[in-house]
Amino acid sequence: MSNQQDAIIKVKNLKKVYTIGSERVIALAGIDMTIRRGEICCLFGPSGSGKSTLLNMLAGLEKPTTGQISINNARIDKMNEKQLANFRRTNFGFVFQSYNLLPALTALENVEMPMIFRGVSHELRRKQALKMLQYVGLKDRVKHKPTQMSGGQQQRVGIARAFVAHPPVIFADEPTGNLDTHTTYEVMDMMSKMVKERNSTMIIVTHDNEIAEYGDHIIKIRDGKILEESWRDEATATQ
Amino acid sequence: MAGGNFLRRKARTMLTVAGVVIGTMAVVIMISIGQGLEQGYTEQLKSWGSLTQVQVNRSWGGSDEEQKYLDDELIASLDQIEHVVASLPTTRRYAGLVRGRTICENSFIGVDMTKLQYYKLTLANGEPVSMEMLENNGYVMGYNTVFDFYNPKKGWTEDNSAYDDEGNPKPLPFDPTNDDTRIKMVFDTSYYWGGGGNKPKGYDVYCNGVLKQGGEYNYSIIMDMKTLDTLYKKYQKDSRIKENDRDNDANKNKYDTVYVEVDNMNNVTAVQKEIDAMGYNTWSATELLENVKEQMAMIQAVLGGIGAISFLVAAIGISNTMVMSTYERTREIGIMKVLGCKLSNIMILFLLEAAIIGLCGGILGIGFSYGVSAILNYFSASGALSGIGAGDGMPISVIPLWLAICGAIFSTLVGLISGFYPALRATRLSALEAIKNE
Repeated sequence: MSNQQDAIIKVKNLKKVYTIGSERVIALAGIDMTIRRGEICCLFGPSGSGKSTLLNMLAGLEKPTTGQISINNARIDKMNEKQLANFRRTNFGFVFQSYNLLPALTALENVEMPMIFRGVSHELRRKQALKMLQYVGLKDRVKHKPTQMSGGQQQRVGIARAFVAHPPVIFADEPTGNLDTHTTYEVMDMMSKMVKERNSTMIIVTHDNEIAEYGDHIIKIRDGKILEESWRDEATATQ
Repeated sequence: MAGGNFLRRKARTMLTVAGVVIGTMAVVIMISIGQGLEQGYTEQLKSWGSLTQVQVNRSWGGSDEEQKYLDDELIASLDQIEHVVASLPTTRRYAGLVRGRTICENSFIGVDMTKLQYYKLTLANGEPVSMEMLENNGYVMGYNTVFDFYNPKKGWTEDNSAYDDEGNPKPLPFDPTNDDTRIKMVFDTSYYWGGGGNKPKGYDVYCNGVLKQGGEYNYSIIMDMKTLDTLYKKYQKDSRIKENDRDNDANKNKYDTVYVEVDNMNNVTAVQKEIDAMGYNTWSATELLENVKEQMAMIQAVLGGIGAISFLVAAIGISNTMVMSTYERTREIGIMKVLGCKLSNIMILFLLEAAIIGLCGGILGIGFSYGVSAILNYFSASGALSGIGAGDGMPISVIPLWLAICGAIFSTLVGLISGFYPALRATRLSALEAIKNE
């Protein structure tokens, strides 16, 4: 099994330059990397390093200035707004630092949402969402609104929402940034377990060393460049 | 989801709906007043004559060659015209009915018995006038004619009015169909005016009915034209009157007026033009109605325009509410976009919400309009607004079903149009910007 065949995300010479007024800020100064299927990849770096910008571009939320990004052999840097929306719908799951649940909807409805967008029938998506909420341990919070739940509970709803439609790639942007230490481990354990069970790929952005410990593949980023790349299991790395 | 959000921001949404309610009411009430005026005028015209009739009158003056006469030749050619149901000739004699010391002078109208059903003569009890009623010197009277009997030496009194002080019709003063009243017909009434000479010979005629009040023949007496002619000839013989020149002219003009019954109100103008082209003198209530309708269309456009201004304000209100809504829901929209929601779905969400505001406002507005319309009509009926309406007792504001339905559809459409820009704005929000704010 070669590295190349197994790659799900390939990034070549990715650059992002912001123009703020007359000043040009280089957020990413040429990134080359490959993420393999089934991997938990940590983009690790201090704030302002460009790791969040990188995640946004991998997720198709921001356009690169130059460079190529291919995911599942699709060039997302060349897609338009509509194609990106379709691509995200079928390929990505998201976990956010601030949970980003819709406040008007119940936990169940929030989890159903990605399936609504995919056009899954009402009955099937309700069944799936209930199964997922049970899995994350929120069976008794199904009818609760986000404001009626703790941060940890909200994030577990967020995780259920991210995984419910079986996307091949999960993006998690500082998923435990708002949680206490105990809940952080709970949430991280839950996510890594699900990624491994489903053979999904997860990209986590964090500045926390302990979170980075969960990664199979750790990419340290500083000043828009890859400072260091390491694999937990050195045997699988061919570099 | 659109409905959910609708309820979530109750106060603001209700205020926006209130704006639409007022806008809808303004338009509907204004148009309903226009409708009321038009209906009032139409009713009034109907009382002057059927709206499906063209009257062909004698033309006076002009040289003999150009002169067109109302004769059987004309009747035949009128019957040939497309859309003509029947052409109804009438003859007319001005004569009197004598009842004791009272006389009633009015037009005696002779009708063609073979076409009787087309004259649309209806009795006060709702039955149509039958041929038997006009046979053997039989006649029927216009309702108001019955009140016209008066004593020439005493002059007119209150009793000769067919209406009471408040303008309501009075019941008949006596039953003319009752044989005991012994009414006779006289052609020359000058004796009763103190004109001297012998008492004129009275001819036996028999009243067999009284027509429904109102309409063309309200002040007439209807007979078979053959009976009328026979009676007149008898009178001429009895009084030894020779036919003079005017009667010669009258002989050429066999008929006094020909009423042309047309199959449909919309074809009246075309038929009238055709008869005009034949060189005859015509008149129709429809002709007046056309003019009135043109004026009404203008009045309605002006009134509707005034209403439309408040609708425009309501539309801006909807737009404003929806734009505010996109600001408030920037984050929600962002989340949905990140999760891969189709842009069209976001668009539909906002359009639906705007349409719901429009529809609710429209339905409520129409409901209130019916209320306001009823209040207006109440005051107009009580006379407080007399002078504005077309006639007494006529409703000043009429909301036909089509107006109500169009009102609801229109307000929904206005909602959709007002929601279009905000919806477009929502789809253009950057997903990234949306989820960044905390």
